[in-house]
Amino acid sequence: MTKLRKFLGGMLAAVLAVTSLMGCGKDSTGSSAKSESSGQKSVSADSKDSAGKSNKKYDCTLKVVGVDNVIVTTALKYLDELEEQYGIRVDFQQYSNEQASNKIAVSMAAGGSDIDVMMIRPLDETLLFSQNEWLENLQPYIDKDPEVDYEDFMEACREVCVNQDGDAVCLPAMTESGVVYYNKKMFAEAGITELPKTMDELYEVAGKLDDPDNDICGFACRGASNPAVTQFSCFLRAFGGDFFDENKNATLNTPEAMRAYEFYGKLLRDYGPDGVLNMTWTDTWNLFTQGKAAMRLDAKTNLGSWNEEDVAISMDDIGFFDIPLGPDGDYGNYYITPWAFGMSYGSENKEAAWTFIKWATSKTMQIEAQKNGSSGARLSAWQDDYSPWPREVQDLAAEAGAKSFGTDRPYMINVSNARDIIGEIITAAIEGDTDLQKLADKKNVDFQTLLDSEKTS
Amino acid sequence: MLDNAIGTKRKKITNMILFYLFVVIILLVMLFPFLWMILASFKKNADILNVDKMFDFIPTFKNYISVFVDYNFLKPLTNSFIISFVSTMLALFLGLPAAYAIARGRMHLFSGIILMIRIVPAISFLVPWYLIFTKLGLTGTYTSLIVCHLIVSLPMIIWIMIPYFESIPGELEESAVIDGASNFGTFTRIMLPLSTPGILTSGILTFIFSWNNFMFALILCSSKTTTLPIAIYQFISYSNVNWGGIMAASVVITFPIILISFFLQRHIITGLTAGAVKG
Amino acid sequence: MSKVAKWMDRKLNYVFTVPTILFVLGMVLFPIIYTFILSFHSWRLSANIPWEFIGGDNYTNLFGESRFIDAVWRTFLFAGIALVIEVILGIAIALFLNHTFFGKNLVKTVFLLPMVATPVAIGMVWKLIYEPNIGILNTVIRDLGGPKTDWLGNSNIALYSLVFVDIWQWTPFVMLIILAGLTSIPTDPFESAMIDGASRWQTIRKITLPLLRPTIFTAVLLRLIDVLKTFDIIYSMTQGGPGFATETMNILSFRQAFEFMQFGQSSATLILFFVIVMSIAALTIKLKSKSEVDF
Repeated sequence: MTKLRKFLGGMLAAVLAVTSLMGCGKDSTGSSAKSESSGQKSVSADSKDSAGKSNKKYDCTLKVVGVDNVIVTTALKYLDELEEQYGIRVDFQQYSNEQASNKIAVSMAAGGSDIDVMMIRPLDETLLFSQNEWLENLQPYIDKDPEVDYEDFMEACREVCVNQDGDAVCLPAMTESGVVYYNKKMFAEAGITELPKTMDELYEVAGKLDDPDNDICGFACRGASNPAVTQFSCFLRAFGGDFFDENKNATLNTPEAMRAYEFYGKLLRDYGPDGVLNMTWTDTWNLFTQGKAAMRLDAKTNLGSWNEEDVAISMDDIGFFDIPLGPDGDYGNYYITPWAFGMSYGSENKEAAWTFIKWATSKTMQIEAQKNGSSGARLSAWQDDYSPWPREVQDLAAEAGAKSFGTDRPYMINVSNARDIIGEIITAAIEGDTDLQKLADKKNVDFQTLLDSEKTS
Repeated sequence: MLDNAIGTKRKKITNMILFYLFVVIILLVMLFPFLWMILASFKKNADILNVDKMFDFIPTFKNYISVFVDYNFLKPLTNSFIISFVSTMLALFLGLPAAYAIARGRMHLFSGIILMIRIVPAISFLVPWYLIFTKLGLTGTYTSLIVCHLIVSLPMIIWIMIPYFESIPGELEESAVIDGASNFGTFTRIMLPLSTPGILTSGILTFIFSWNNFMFALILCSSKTTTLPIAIYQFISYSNVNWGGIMAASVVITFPIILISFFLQRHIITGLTAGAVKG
Repeated sequence: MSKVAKWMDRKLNYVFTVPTILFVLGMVLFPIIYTFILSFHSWRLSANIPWEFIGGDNYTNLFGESRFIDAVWRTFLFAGIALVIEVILGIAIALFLNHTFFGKNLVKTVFLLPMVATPVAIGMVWKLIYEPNIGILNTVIRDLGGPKTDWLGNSNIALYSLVFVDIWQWTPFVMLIILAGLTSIPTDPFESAMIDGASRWQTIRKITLPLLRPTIFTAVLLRLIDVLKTFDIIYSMTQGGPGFATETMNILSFRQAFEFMQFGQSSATLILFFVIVMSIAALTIKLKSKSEVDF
């Protein structure tokens, strides 16, 4: 028995020793000491004070959790430079959205040391993650490091990357805003010359284009309840509504909101695609690029999915126009930050992790990503014609920046819960529920309960 | 009299035709999703998205190339194999003696415990295990996944092997003991060789279930130890739902299982129905 | 042989079982106890923030929420429909195939495929088949002049679409068990029944089914435990949606934990889920032993 215990103890010790060897030191001095002792390439010991200098070597491997998007593919291309410049190697763990958050959650529950940098979705996760204390406060790093040029990040982006005290906890990497894609050929065939400027015109035009006999729908947009909330926000705001007011009072059942549900429901019920209730952006994208939808509302960044081989229409056939105005002239488009880089509170290589985050969101990288079809979070990324997007989309994006909403969903901790609640009303609206007000009243109470539960905590 | 005989014969033939017709219909229902998966895996996405081209398309290997080149499926394929194989071997190593002892010693309490484990919802394991593995510095390693799979594999092997060992007549052991063999020797030299078919059965089955496991890997694997069922999700997050890619990946995942099924059909059926039928 | 080895050999039954059982118990009991304790706490999955004891709040919250009650009901609905159809179909097909014919082994192999194929891959294929716009199911229905149906997107239908996949996947399991059971029942009763001039249906009802009863019960028990815990298929096809339309207890607890980070709440769901599955299994076993006494 003692033998066994000794054996197990030995195994455990060996395992711990191996893992601690694999990690890197807490700071550059520590890592340099270690690397000297293990006979690896030597590292300048005085690097600690010369922050930002290119000779700063960390000699460690950062564990980065993220998803697959243009920001990441761009960054991955330059990893060699990162290693050469800072001695940082990156173990990039790529997952799907859900898996990435599952992954982050279990790691954080266990202390967070097996993640250094995580890509987060600010609108869903900043508040939640910072409340859970999963994110390292980046403000001290930003304050002492002018190289970041924090002011260059758009204000709408910065606002959703801070914790309750207003300190930055992540750096924005990308933006996204809505647009209506339309099929120019179909517009011409239907004899439509004027692009819709109001919601009523949108409905009218969709009716003219809808052609069920040929399996073509007039207007495609998300109908799957939870994902639909973000695109629906354009309608909600255009009709003068919102998710909650400045005092966090739920406003899901106001007359404005009711008009928005009814309009969105009617639009998709009458002229939307079949099976709309299960559709998210990929589905409407497929419909549109297969020539099965005359119009489609969703994010501009979807253009990055354009693949010549998989489409049945030509890029030249696609036109774009901004989200139409509501009955009182309200504008409802969003300008959000889908991705940002944050640091795990449990990281054992915080200096190196900061260097990575700074590098991944730097002007150079933002411009490189812009060239690859990203939509930059830095003002400098838009200063020139870097983007491969059609000029009109770039213009629409630049225009929308100033007047849009920084969120496209209720900005709160339990976003997913909230989206489920709102999504139910949207689903019912599309299905043509006759007593929508009753449902909205009921859901408004649920939503209020959820909001209140966050006030106290 | 003769007419009558011909009549019965004709009736017999009609019956047989009807029987086989019915069998073919059932087979088609069972096989259809697999055929559809293979068919779609050879289509370009544009052909999948175009209903008119359901059967009229030019086959392409593009999806398979992208599965192995762009998405580097070789890695999850190796991972899945390593994890399933090692956990099956370990489960056999621990499970066979246990099953033997339970069968011979009639330890009903232990067999009850084994059935209990089947009932616990696997989700409740995820976070506690992750905490243990973090303490041991094993998160995202093969070891952690293999140990997790063991918790599913071990009960399965024991469950299948108990009735198998019970079915081997006890006289064989008794005569071995009379010849002076130790209990351990009887087990290794007499019982194990006698139960090779059973071992094969339980081994294949645990391998398959391990291969198919999704939930453990969903939470516990790292990008280095990603298994196939998780890797398939790359095709959904990758800017678009790449149906052709998903289907090609599905074929890659299921192909080894189908292959095993065709060659070792009898063993798998015995394993799946073990404990249900008193032989 | 040394004394220790001799002792070990004499107690071989325990040497063979105790370490394995302890390992398994440890790996299983720790999570169960952990989950049980956590179900009385509020915890947001952060090692920084300690657990907060809240008594039975997690449980009262669940019962105050229609979402949980609905999930319980849905779990039973899913399991109930799937199980009944699987058993009836499984028995019918097994009786139908219960004689030697050319190609029987091939047929059995084909029946094996749905249940051994990777569930996630199976889920993906069915998702493509069910796809409202490009799926073959709707295309065939359209060609026959039927209406377009959103199999997974319509909240009234989605659960049944998933039940259908489960039936497709697991009827073969019941069928194979019954088929194996059929070969092991004695033939004498059938011969005497034939002499008495009983019709085929009478023989099945009066002789075959009663003889098969223990086999059927075991098939039901094994299927029941697994069908209540169905996860992979639902996760890969709908993830509980649209809305909550396909959210069973298993999916609900997963979402509570990893989507909403309400880990205490999720633990409470899991504990209740465990209790429910366990009592149903115990009830079935009890029914089985009772029926065996009757027999």
